[in-house]
Amino acid sequence: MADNKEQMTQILEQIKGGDQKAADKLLPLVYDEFRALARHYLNQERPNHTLQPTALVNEAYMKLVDQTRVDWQGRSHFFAVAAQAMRRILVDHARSRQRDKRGGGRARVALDEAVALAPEKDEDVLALDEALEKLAKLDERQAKVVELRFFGGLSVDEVAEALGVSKRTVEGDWTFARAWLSRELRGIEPG
Amino acid sequence: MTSEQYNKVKEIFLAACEKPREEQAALVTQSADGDETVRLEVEGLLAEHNRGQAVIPDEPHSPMSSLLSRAGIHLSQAEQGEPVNNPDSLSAGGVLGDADTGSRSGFVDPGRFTAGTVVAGRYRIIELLGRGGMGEVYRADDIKLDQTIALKFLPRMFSQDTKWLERFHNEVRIARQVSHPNVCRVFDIGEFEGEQFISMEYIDGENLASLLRRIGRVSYDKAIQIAKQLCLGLAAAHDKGVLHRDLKPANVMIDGRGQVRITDFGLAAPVDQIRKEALRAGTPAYMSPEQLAGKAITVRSDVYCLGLVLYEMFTGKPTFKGETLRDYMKLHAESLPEAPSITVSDINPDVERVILRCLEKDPRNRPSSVLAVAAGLPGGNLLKEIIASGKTPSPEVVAAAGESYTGFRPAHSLLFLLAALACLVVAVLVAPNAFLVQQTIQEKPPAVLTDKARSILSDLGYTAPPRDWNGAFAINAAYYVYVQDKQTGPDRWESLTRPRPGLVYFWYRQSPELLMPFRSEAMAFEDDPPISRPGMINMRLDPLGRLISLHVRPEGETADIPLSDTPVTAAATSTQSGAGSQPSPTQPGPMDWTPLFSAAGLDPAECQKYFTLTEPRHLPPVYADSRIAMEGHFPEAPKETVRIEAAAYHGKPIYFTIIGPWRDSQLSVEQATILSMGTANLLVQTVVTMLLLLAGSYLAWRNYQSGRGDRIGATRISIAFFAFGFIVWVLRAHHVPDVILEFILFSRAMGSTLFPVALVWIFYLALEPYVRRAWPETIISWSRLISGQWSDPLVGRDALVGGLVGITTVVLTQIELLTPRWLSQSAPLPNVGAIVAMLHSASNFSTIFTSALSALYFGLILLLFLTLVRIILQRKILAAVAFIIVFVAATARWTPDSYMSWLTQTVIALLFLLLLGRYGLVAVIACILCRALLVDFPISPDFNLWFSTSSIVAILSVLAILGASFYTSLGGRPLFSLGELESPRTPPP
Repeated sequence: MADNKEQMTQILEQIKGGDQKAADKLLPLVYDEFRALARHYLNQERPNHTLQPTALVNEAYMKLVDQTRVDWQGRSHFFAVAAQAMRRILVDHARSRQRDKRGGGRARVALDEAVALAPEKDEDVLALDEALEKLAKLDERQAKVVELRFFGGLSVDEVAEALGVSKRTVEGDWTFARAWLSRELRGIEPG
Repeated sequence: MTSEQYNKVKEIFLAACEKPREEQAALVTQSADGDETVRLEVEGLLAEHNRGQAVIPDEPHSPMSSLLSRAGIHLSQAEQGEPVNNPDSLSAGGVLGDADTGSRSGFVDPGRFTAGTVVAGRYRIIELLGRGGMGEVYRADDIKLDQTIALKFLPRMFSQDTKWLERFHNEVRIARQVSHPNVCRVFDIGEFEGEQFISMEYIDGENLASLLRRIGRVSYDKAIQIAKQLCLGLAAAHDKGVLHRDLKPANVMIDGRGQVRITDFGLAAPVDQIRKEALRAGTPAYMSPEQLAGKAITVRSDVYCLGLVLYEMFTGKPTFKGETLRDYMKLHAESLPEAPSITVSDINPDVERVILRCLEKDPRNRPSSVLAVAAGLPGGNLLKEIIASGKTPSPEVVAAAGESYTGFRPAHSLLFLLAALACLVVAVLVAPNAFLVQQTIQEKPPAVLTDKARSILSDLGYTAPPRDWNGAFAINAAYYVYVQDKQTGPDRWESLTRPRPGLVYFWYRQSPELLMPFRSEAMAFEDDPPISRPGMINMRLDPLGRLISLHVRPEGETADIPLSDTPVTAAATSTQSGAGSQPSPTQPGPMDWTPLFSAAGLDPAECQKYFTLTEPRHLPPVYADSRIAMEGHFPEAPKETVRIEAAAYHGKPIYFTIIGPWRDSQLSVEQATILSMGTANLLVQTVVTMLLLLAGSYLAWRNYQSGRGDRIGATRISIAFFAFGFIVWVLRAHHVPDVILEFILFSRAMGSTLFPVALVWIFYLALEPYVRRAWPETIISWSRLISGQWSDPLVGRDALVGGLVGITTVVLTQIELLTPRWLSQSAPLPNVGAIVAMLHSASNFSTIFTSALSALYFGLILLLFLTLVRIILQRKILAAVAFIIVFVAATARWTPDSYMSWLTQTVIALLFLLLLGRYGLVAVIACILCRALLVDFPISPDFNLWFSTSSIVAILSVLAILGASFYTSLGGRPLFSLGELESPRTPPP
């Protein structure tokens, strides 16, 4: 864990130093950490404990990053990556469950270490993921804003910092994306 | 759509969002500039934007949480047995207003109603806050009142069931009456498109379940705060008879200011009737054993659930971990919860104790109310919180008021005890000089005087043994008034203390029949029954046994006396010869008055020296055939001219009296008390009494109706009053050796004993709740005492301080009585009532019980009166001033020379105020009791006097009170311990 921490902190420093590739190294670390944390909670806590993503992200941050060395911007970067990781976990999980259902009926749903999704909501997760992909093709940044806000729980300020754009831009993106996604998810396509 | 078009769409869309809705269409058409694709796209997006954020919430924080928690983690499907649903996602009310709440479903699930829908013509739906077993909750705008509220739509399956609806309406009807800052308010119910809904307070905050998930466990201070607010909120509902029935962390909302709000009160009740649904919808993790067993649910079931919530809040862990309903039924019914200290090692032991008590399996072993739970929690002042929330704390809570109200440190107790003992020594030593009775009656005890009276009677020729007799010390009230009005100067005290003419006399009466008094008080009476029967004799002796007066109703027939032979006035030339100047025809020899006058201590020589014969003026009350009268003065009182009249019939004296310049020798004690008091005192006392009586009856009735009065306390005090009154009657009243007659006396005594008992009951019921609400600190130890906690250190502390102050006031009174005499000023006269009481107790220590009664009585009166004054005048200082004025007006003497009395009574009033404010009712009662014992008993350090038994009994009683309260105040702590001396004891944090 100590190694992880050192590694993570270094990566964040590299990102700050302008090394964009460093971000790619970050993702697997965060992803693993989420899974580990979730497993830990499932073993330790009561069965009905619902994991709180914000808490999870925060906790991962505490564990993975030496806060004395990482400043506010570093934190934003971390959360940006965390949001991505979280999205991936949720979508992967939803997919695997859909497969299970198609394959073996109800029987026993595999218990993911990260999150056990309510079956009726898998479609929602996948639909959102799909819509986001679609949006990303039209406007990459906009989709990123949604990902950070929605999956990472970042505030407008934090998103602006993580993406290096103005607060106003983020607000515009967010408003538009929400309307766009809403319409998309309702399936009301214009003719 | 091209990338260019897309950019244009976004630009127009964002521009349009800034505009008011009515202008948007024009802007879009204009900006699209003929590009239909762009126009349609923008319009579609705007429509989506304007309909609200139903699909993707615009939450500033953690929007993802909704997705995750919506997903909800549970193991149920992976395990065997009955599935247990996620309690949080099923909780109906715990989801109000926060994205972090467990069951928030803002994402892709618009709920039954979309944003903007107007419900029942009044509420505009803003967003879905959550859904659960009890339906969906929306945030909505009350259009009429322009307020944000929460709307809860109930599950459809219930809406169809008329029986269920009826119960539901009932419950809401009651829940609506609950108004408390810690309870989420229910406003109304309604129906919309066949769906039942409740409108209620919207709380912008987070529920406890989510808070716990987020931060693990709540910090100690915060947890205590939340716990107390929970208790207060629940108590308010329980007060109205509403049980929560489904208390769990998800139903506890904490708003931005940290204020706790309990939601979903009683809403589970109707569901509860349909058990299956209840169990599926409810949360077995937060159900009491009796609830799971389908038994009756009481306040103590809520206490159990409260215990579960507290457990989880303080430890961050649920009390029991189960997976299926069957698991939970077993866990709640059989498993002992793990001690919270195992998880949180530094948990306050008080908190742990309270939580574990709440979690007792048997409801009877749990705290009886949520307030009792709150009272058991350390820290803060629960009383103040309850009062601040506008409620009257129950006696139980007052008695259990926080840890800040415990006894003294042992060293302080010892200090108080020593001070009290020192004062006691002074009081006892000074008493014989300060008080009048000790100097007056020390010569002869009642038995000796009774014997003396009988021997006088036998000398006078009345030898027949009486069937019944009685005798006691009493005071010549008229003489008291005479001295008070006519005599000034330092020697007026001597006028009262000397035997003759003096204040105190001993009366003796005998009768050939049983003496059956008509009055029912527990006293022997000189004039009750009246001298109505032949053979009855009443006489008075001075404390030295000399005759003062004699009334005989002669026996025998009067037929042999010719009517014409009216008795001739006998103006004796000489008492020595005792002869009337004109012997009556029926009186062969001259009347010999010598034995009579000798009985009065006037031997012939003295008579001649100090008295001269004169014409008889006063008619004897019965027929007499010879009379004699003298005028002069007693050798020991040269200033007071007295007249002695006597009469005889058939050679036996039947009448003897000494008439002084005082008004009327037959003035009763009551009249004299009034005369000596003065009009002002009387007026004040009467007005106060009348007002209290009127107000008391009304309030008692109201408090009885509302159940606010402390019926148990009132009954206990009434029983004490009755018991004491009865004992006094047994010990002091005149009893007769005849079962039927004694039964009549007993019935009458019951009447006069029960009446004040009823009054006490009424007044206690009427006024005690006000004290409890306005000034509960004064009755903490009192509440403990009457709930049977005799050995509580606080009771001991208060009684000890009270005893000290009581003895101090005695010393003050002694100083008041003695100072003018030392200064050779006009000596103040002691209170008539005090003299009478002391005379009674000299020969009968039943006075201990009357002292106890008056201590209880005046203690309560003082407290109730002062509380009323405080309530009326609002300000403490004003109330204190008013109290002192009334107290002094009612107790100080109203003569010009009574400055000492004013001074003393003011100091005593201040002491009472201090005592009441600082130490409360128990202290005041102990104070009055100790004072009464030392003032009502003839205290003397000379233990050889005949009344020293009474004196010793009184002193021992005071010592017993002091000793017992000292011992109790220690509360089992060692008097001296090394640690105690080194560092002051501090309560655990």
